[in-house]
Amino acid sequence: MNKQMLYQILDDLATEAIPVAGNPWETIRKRINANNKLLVFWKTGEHKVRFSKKHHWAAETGILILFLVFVMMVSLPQGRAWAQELLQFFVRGPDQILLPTPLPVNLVNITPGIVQPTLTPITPQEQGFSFYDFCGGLPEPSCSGQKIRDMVDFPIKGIADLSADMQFIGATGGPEAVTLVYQYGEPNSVTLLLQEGPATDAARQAVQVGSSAVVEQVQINNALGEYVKGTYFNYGGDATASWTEDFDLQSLRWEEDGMLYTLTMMGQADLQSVKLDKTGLIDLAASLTEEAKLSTKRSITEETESVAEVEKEAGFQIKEPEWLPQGLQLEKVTYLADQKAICLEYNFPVDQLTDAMPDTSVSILESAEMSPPDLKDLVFTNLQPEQVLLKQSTLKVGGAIEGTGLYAFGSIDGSRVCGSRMQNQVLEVQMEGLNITILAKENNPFGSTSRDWLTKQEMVRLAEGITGIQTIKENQTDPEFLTSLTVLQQIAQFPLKLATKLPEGMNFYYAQFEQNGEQQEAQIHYSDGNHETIIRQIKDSQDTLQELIRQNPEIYHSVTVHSQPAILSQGYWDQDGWRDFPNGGDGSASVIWFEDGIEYIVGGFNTYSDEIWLEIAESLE
Amino acid sequence: MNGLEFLVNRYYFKAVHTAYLIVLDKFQAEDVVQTVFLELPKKIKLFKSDSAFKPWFLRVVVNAAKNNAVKHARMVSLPVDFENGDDFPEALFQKSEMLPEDQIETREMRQTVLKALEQLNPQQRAVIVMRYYLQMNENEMVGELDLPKSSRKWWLHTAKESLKVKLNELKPESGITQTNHDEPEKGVNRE
Repeated sequence: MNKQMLYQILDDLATEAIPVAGNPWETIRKRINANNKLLVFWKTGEHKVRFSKKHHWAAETGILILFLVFVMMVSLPQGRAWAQELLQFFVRGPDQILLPTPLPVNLVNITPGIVQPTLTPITPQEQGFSFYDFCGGLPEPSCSGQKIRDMVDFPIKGIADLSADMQFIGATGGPEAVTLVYQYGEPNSVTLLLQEGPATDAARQAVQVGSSAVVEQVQINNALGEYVKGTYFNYGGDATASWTEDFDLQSLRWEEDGMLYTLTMMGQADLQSVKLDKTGLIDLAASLTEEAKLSTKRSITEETESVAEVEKEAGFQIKEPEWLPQGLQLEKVTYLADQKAICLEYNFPVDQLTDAMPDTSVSILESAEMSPPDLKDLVFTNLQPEQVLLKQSTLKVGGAIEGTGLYAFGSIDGSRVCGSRMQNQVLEVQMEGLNITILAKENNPFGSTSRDWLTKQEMVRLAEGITGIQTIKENQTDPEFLTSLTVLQQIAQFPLKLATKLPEGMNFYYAQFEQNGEQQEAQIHYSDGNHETIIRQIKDSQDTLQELIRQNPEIYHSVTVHSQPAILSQGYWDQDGWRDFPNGGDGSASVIWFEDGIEYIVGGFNTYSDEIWLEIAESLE
Repeated sequence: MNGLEFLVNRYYFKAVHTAYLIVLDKFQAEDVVQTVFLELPKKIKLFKSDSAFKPWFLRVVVNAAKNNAVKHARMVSLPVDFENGDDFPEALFQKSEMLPEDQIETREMRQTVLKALEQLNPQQRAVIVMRYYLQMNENEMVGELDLPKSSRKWWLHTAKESLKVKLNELKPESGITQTNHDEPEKGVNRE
């Protein structure tokens, strides 16, 4: 008898005693019904499928993790205080803490064309800020000091004298407390968060720090406070967070005149204006005043510039596009003297966006004198040359000189010339007497649940709305945003498969089609309001499983789908290499296989376990 | 279909079979597993996302079944010679002087194993079930078993030795021979 025989005997014994028959759920359901308390517990939604908000990818991961940690620090329940410690604002907990874990995902059978109920997207309250709809969230809230002061009934202090290398970004929060965000130097080099609110019993709840944290008592004006360096740190998808002093994160908490303040400084930089250490932080805390104006860069221009004023400054007339994507509205106009250009910023009303991000969605830079910016001047400044991804192509644009425009997407930071950091695609067009640069958000690789991104066709149509020569018809099919599977099937010259099983709440969202030489690719995007599941089908693909594995051997695992060899990848890259998350959590997921000459890729944001991804892949018919 | 129904449909029978092999009573096994399902909303908070749900859940079942069996105190522990610690199952199978397996009625073998299980204590049965029925490795086994890590080897050894002793005692005509062959782990191939 070997292990397998012993297993078989044990299995036979158990199955003989309790045959696999009947409906166990009926039995359990009856027991639940018999226990009213339990029934209520389940109905309150503890078992509901929950999805976490998408994290940003690659370069922005670090700073966002720190923000996440900050939110976590201020929201963690109080741990067990050690009797010998007399800490008032911090409390010691373990050096390693468990993070909340998602519940298992329900896979349900779906019929194409039948819409299943969508899950409720994460609410602003779940983001941690009641004012999220109006002011956005971290790291770039949008409310000015005046606006946030009107929203709460307690006084708000800020930094009175901002040095040249310091900027007030904005504020957000809720009726209990607000958070002000400042930045020093280059974007993301040093960020300072100031949380303030009435010192209620709830607010006084101590913030948990690791058992090895060094907490120092300090004096801020006439008040005693506490200072600590360090943070609980975790990568996206981790099950635990560990206390570390390796990151430049310093926190100062104190209570003064009935208000509780938490000043958190993240990052490190050689700045002339402020010394970024414990003493510098204490000095900054002591200088806070209710007289601080708290004007954001945006609010200054809103207050002082009108379209007429901007045109007068620029010396040429603004040319607004005759066509705009549905819902897009002009939000502000600014004259940029250094670029001799006018910046027009457009946005979708917040209530039209699932994500409710109050960022500029599209911006147009117009100049009568200056050429469109060099593409290299649009990329993120903090990236090394080898980290820059910039894919360029030429698009036909009616009315443009030589009938074309230069299009690019990748590591673009729209805010370097006009608009938001989130804009990552650009179309540069030169026409008679005017040079135009259109910046917009591109659909991200995991899909976007908010339609605040533009297709290439929409970029061209916007440009042609300025040149006045439209080559794109009103209802022209846009292969990057097809709202019908029938149309997709008509365009694609090969039979398409559809998923018959999807996570609960997922529905058809849109489809895409792309032809590249002989190669055709059809993409079907399903969404539940929080995340997308994407099915890609590629005819005449140049890929092979062997080549994909050869390129990234560390990220793929061998599986089978439809009895065909397949590979599965779940996780993301960071500075230490590939991080594998086979149970879901963060990063991206993809299952890849070949069948009847077609390459199939099922993937999306890595929310699910490998079992779920494989079941979705197996369900393709 | 809600979340609990999904889990019940998916894992109930594996769970109830696991529990049965520990409590050795059909009704108690069903009661244990139903209770685990009802308490899952509270237990789920202990689930760490760096491990798969199924082994975690089955460890919860094993622990609940073991506690149930201990409460009913049906068994007594057996003295085991820990010094002579050949690893199970090699020791069990190689040293047994039994007839070839092809001469033995399957039913008799089942009864022999069942009797051997009955004579182990619940803790030992839990270890055997996790190792040979759920095919967990040592690290996977200790997660929910209330065992200090320092003594996990000791417990494993005890359980293996106990089963070996009991099978040998009960061997009459049964033949348990051969060496073991570690079976590959089931599930996604992560080679």
